[in-house]
Amino acid sequence: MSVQETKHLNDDAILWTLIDPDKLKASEKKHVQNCQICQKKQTALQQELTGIKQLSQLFLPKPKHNLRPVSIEKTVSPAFLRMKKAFVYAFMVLICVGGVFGLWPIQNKSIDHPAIEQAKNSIENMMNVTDYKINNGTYSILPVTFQYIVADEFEILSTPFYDYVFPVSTLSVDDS
Amino acid sequence: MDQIAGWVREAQTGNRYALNQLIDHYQNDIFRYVYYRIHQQADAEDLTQDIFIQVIKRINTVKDHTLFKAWLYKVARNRVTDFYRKKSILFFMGTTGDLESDTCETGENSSPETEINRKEFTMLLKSLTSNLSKWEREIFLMRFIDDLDIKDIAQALDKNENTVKTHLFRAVQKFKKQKKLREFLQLSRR
Repeated sequence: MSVQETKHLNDDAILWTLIDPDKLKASEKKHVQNCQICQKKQTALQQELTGIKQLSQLFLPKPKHNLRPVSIEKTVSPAFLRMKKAFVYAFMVLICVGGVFGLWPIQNKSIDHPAIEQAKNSIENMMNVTDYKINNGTYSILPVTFQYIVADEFEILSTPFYDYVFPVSTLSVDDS
Repeated sequence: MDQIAGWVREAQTGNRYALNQLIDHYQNDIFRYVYYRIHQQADAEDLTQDIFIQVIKRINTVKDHTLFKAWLYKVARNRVTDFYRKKSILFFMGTTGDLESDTCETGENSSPETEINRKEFTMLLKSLTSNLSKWEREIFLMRFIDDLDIKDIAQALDKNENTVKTHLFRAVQKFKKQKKLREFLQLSRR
């Protein structure tokens, strides 16, 4: 046995036995085959490197979703999609133009709820000024049915009784 | 391997069964690939779906049916790169949070002990990968987490096999300096 064959392999040579044994010299190869110490070193390193793979597999999380891609079937042609898009844009433009020119029925719809209609009528009745007109240029705040109590209707102001109760002289200011 | 090549051939002719077989066969591997690069479950699920959509669209471009696995990982890698590119743009625009999330989503049915171990493993793995160069990190993860052989890695990354081996050698050298991770691996083996 030569000196070369009895000499233990250094760390780099041990490493090369794992990566590319062909890089070793024939004497080094022969030594590894017979030397238990070098074999032990080689095995230890091999196990550490194998351990990386085992742990990476062990600690790999399980996928939450199926990893197989969902196949997308071509059911519609691109021309159809382009047409669809054009229709959508045309429809939107039509809505806008109609809105600007007041073409849509909702814009002309009157309020026809019965309660609102009734309130509207009563306001109109209240505002019918002919019922409140007493004389030309004179209006009463009272409805027609109560207008008879207005003083002028009974000509109170022009009667002698009124002059008797409220004589004109009493209304004059005394100079003294 | 012949079966995979057969499914690829059939899928290229429009056979849905073959395509589904391919997706079912690789979906967990691709999910693991994505998850250990972005560390966010929901995003990893979405990206996995995106990757398979790309696969469905481009499967006809696979010329050598035996190289499907390498091609699939190349698609996955490109998609993850796109994800980070988009995220970095959003980050600079101020519409997203950190570039790399520190949160690790918890499994619904796992025990507290498993959750603690999971978080520690993720933290130690991030600590290791932060010390590696871009190619060292990618090759190390592909070799020891995704369990790809050197040939597949070289094809997925469009690199020479010797270059891949050299990057891997350097990455493992750096791994050997990560005492905490090595202790964690030794303890978990017991």
